[in-house]
Amino acid sequence: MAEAVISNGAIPLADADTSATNARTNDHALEVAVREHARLVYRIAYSVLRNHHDAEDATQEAFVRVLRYRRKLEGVQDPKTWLARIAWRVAIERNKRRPEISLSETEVSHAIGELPSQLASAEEKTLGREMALLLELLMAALPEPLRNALTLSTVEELAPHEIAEVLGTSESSVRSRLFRARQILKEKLAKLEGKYESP
Amino acid sequence: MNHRNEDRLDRWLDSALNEQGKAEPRAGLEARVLANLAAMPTEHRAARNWWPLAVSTAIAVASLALWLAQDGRRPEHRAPHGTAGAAQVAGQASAAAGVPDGGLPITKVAASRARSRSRHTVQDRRQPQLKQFPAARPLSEQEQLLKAYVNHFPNEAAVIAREQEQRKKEIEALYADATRESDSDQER
Repeated sequence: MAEAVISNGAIPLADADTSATNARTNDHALEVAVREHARLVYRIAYSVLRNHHDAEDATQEAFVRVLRYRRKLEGVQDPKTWLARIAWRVAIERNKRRPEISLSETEVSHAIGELPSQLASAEEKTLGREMALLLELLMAALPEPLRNALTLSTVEELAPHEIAEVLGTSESSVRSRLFRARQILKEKLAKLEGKYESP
Repeated sequence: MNHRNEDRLDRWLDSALNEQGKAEPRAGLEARVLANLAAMPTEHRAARNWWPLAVSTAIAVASLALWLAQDGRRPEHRAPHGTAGAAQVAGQASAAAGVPDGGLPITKVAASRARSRSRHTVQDRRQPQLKQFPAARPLSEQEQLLKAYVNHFPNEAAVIAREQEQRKKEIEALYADATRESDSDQER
């Protein structure tokens, strides 16, 4: 898995004589990567797993994978995107092993009931549990390419071109996917609002 | 969906997605990750170096099995037809350990070894003569227990085998020392 995300421009294997020096350099590079990007890795994991504990486990796992290939870290062109791709893959793999989320009719109704008040002061209000779950549920129902782009767009450290790198697509494709994803979500929310408010 | 409603939902969606991305890890995430990574190389090394341990364990188990097999076969060599009596074997043993040419007395260690050998031989005498070599016979209850133990706890079995081997060597060294001492006493 992780092999696939390693850049081709990696530094070659060390000679026996210089291995100690290289090991120290690699360890230093790894430490720098942890200090600079652990938060990004965590946020990517959290955007997929929606759980702090799982996100932290995924962060640890992602860096353990990095440790395995730390010799190549020095040669990676863009460590941030490289780490983001590893974090993304780890989180997606972990998410597949988790049970699917579900929301009862009452919970959906309650969440939609909260919508007007949340819309009134969207900036100040924090997302209620049911609203968050509803959004998660609506996102889960999106087609995978749209969902992936939207999920990564919630990570504020990632610019559209970096999301494109992580997903292995073009920036324009990411932008169009985000637009379509948002359209679908708005339509679904409007329908739900109509359904639960009209009676 | 009218334009106003769309704007409204857009704003809400922006805010909700933004909030979803605001996840903050518990304080000290970097330190925890680094601590975990610091613990990893040892584990990796241990995982990579499992094979010498496995090989040495296999060798130890094989030598234990060989030793057991030889131990089981030894009586047939000593008393192949089951005709030698305990006294006769004890006599042979004492002759071997005792006064072959120099008229030396039998030491305590030698005597006890002779006694133990004669005990073995008495027990083995009761077994029928076996034509096949190595003898094909079912494992005794003790051997079966030992086999089960080795299967379940190969590492411990290897350690025990090593300990036994070492103890055997120590006893032999003691025996050699005792013989040397009695020789020098005699000379004096």
